[in-house]
Amino acid sequence: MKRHVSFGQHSYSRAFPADESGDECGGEKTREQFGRRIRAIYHRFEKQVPVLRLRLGVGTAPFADSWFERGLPVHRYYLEEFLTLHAADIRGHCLEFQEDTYTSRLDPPRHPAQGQRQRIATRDVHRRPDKAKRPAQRHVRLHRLHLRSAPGLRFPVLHFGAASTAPAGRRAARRRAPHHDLLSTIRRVLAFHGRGAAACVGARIRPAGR
Amino acid sequence: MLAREFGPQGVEVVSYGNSLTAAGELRGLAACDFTKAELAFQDERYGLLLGARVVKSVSK
Repeated sequence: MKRHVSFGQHSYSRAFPADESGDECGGEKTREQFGRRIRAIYHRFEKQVPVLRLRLGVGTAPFADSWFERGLPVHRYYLEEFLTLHAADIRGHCLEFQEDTYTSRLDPPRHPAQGQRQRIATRDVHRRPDKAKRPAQRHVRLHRLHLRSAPGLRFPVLHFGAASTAPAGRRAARRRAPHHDLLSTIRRVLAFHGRGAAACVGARIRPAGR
Repeated sequence: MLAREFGPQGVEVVSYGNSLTAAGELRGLAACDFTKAELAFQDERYGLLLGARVVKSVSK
């Protein structure tokens, strides 16, 4: 009795019938035939499919070690698509983490006076004090924030992602989750401005300690 | 989570990406390595990016 194994649109048993030894799976000879058929299919499509895409499933090393090395990262592509879709909301008071790339592009200043941007911040995000040399120093991580506003308004300094650690030798006294910090920041921005929606773009959250 | 903070009326969440673009992002591929059709296909099960538009209600 032949075993009927479906392989795509073709029948495995019809393409590779069982050999004389009676092995239902076809034995060594059938496996060689199967390998030849697969290699033939691979070589037929090899020139049509980019090599890079074929390598997607092979190996363990990434194609690029850092973002923007090969071009615009995929998540930035989607982010820009989302921001372009909601570009009408990006106006007035805007908060953008790190650089003011998207607020400048999506909401260019209409008047010279409105183009004022305040860079609120701050300190090196990644620098961590040497615990051995300065055991009593507390470590505070701050992200750079950008606040864009009409002239004459004053803004509080907003600390995003602040993580305080205890002196050396002890575990972190309190470490809040990144999404909690983000929500807290958005809530504080909304509470301060108090009208409409604040556009919060380009947030890139790093886990504490990096 | 956002609806709990801001109310369900003012929250709009959109998922972007699919399993192919998510795998490519992990492997270091860029947007130019995919076709527009591949990038435009949105699969909520394998979303690469979540976009949220949140509007604060006046009553809060």
